[in-house]
Amino acid sequence: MLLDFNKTSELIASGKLLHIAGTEALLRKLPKGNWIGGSTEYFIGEGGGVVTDSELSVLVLDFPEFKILSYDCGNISNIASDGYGNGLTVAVIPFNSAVHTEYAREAPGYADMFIKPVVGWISGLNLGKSDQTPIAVNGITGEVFTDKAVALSALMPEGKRADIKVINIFAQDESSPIIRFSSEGFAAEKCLVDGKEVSFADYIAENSIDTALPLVGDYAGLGVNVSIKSIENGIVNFYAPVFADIDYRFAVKIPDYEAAFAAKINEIENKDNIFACNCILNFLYGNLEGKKLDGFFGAITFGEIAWQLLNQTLVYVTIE
Amino acid sequence: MSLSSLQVKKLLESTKPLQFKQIALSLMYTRLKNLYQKSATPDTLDACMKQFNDLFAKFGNAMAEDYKLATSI
Repeated sequence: MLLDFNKTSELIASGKLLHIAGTEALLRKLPKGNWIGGSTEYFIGEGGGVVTDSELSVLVLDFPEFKILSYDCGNISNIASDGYGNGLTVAVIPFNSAVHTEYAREAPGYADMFIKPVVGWISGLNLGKSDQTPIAVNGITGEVFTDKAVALSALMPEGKRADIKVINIFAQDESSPIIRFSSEGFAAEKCLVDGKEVSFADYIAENSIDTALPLVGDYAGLGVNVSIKSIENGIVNFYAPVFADIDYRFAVKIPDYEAAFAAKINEIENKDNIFACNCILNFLYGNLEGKKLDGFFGAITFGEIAWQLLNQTLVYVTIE
Repeated sequence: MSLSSLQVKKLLESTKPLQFKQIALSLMYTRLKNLYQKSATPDTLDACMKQFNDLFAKFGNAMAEDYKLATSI
């Protein structure tokens, strides 16, 4: 739910465990309490997509046993193993920080990753304003970080389990060639297109590929997107790393984002989620401002986490 | 359900494009297969077997059924 600063402060004062998304300025002013937070100015609220610096997206997480921890590059590898045996970890990582890069590259190899549920998001800023910095906040200590992740781990009630789900409106375009990269990274100069090495930037230009479309990696039936950030001096830069040994293809074009989301959401039987976040690129390319996404309210993010870093997806958590 | 070393070896050496429905299984399988392709040693196989069996123990029937369906095709 979207709340103003005073109502959010009242909820914090009530002692409830909260996940809060809002502007850096508002988050810095909130009182200490049982909460974690991250910066964004874009949200999906009950009324639809919205850009606001006067409201915060607040999730009440009704779990009595929890811990809130901060992580830098030296200990982020413990993020999954620090979680409860039957728990849920929700992480916020500042965009473009060293810990963001570390997590993007290494998270799949962390201890207990995939065994314990880890979700979260990359915090950001208003892309049209120059006076903001992506932050993560540990509400218990009041610490505001530009260079550390903050994670909330909660113990699930007896007989309940947190289940992570991903809505990805993109799929590989099966008619396009397989693209592979020789090494992992946030940037690529060369790639293999159907086994032949080419300049990736030239390949995109020569084939008039719309860079609003992500690359979709094939992870044993799961499509994992890697979005293109920019192309500069023959280098293609990404919002998440590409990995060697993964078969990528560009995504099928989506003529109508809103309709594509609506169709995906209509397929979902259980929309009762306790956490949801959606990508800024979906918000922007899909013109989601003012448009409703039934039941998946929360922050618009600069990267989503469902164990590993994802792009251009909607991640949510249900309790089973 | 618990996978034997032989089952895990077969799974990791499969050339069939396996497809899982469970996100955790899809991500873990892809990672472990890549690890095993780089270093197909008994130690790697043991580590992979432990991770698969931890996952099956944690998530129970849904994960086991997903594995059985994917590998029976």
